[in-house]
Amino acid sequence: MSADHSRDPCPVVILSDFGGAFAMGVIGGCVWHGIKGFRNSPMGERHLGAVSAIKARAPVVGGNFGVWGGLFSTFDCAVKAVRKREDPWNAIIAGLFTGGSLAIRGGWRHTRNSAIMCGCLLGVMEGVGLMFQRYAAWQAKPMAPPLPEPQQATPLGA
Amino acid sequence: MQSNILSVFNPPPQRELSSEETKDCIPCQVMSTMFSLGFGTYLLSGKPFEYSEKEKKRGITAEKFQQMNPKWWRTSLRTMGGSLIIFGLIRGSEGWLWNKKKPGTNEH
Repeated sequence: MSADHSRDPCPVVILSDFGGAFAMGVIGGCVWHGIKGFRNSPMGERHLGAVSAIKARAPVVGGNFGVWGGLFSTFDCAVKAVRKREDPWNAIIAGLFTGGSLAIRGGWRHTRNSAIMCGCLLGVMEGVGLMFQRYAAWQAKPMAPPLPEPQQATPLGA
Repeated sequence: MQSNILSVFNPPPQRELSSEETKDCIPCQVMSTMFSLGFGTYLLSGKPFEYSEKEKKRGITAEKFQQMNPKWWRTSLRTMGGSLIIFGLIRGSEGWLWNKKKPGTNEH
C-alpha cells in the first residue's frame, strides 16, 4: 500500500514523530548518562557504572522526548486541521498546548508559565528557521553573468 | 513524509491548505478519538492534582499543593476532561452511528 501524497501527512506523522523523538532521546540519553555514569563511578568500575547508568536512565530520557514529540505533533496536526493553513503560528500554538499539557501536574501557575515559555521557544525556533531560509535564498539568488568587456576601438591607420 | 518537528527548524512556505489535503480520514478519526478519550479520562480522573509521593519528595506540603491547585483549576480541568470525552465519543461514532453518509471521507 503506498501513501497518499495528495493530502497532509497527518495523523500518521504523529507516530513517526513520536518514534523519532524517542530515538533521539535514547541516543542523547546514552551519551549523556554514559558519560555521567563513567565519571561518577570509582576506578575499575567505570565501564560497569556507565552501562548501568545508561540502562537505568536512557529509556526515561527517550520516553520524555517521545511524549513531548508525540504531543507536539498531535497538537500541530489538530491546529493545522482547524485553521486549514500552514504557517509558523501552527507550531507556536501547538507549543503552547504542549508546554501546558506537560506541566499540568505542577498547578495552574506552572501550567501557564510552561505554556508561554514553550510557545515563545517555538516562536524563536520558527523565526531562526525562517531567517536561515531567507539567508540561504539570498545567497543562492540568480546572478547575471558578467558582461564581456567592450572591445577597444583601434585607431585608424595604427 | 515531512515531520512536524523538523518543520519547526525548516519551516515550509506559508499557504492555505486545500480541502483535498485536510479531508477527513479513518486514521484521523481513530487518532483523534484515542487522544480525546485518553487525555479526557486522565483529566477527569483527577490524577493531575492528586497529592502523591512525588510531591512529598520535592518538599511540597499538602497545604501548598492545595494552593497550587485551587478549586477553580480542578473544576476547569475536570470540565475539560469531560468535554474531551464527549468530543471523543462523538468523533469516534461519526460515520457508523450517526452521519453515516459522511462526505469527503478518505481512507488515507
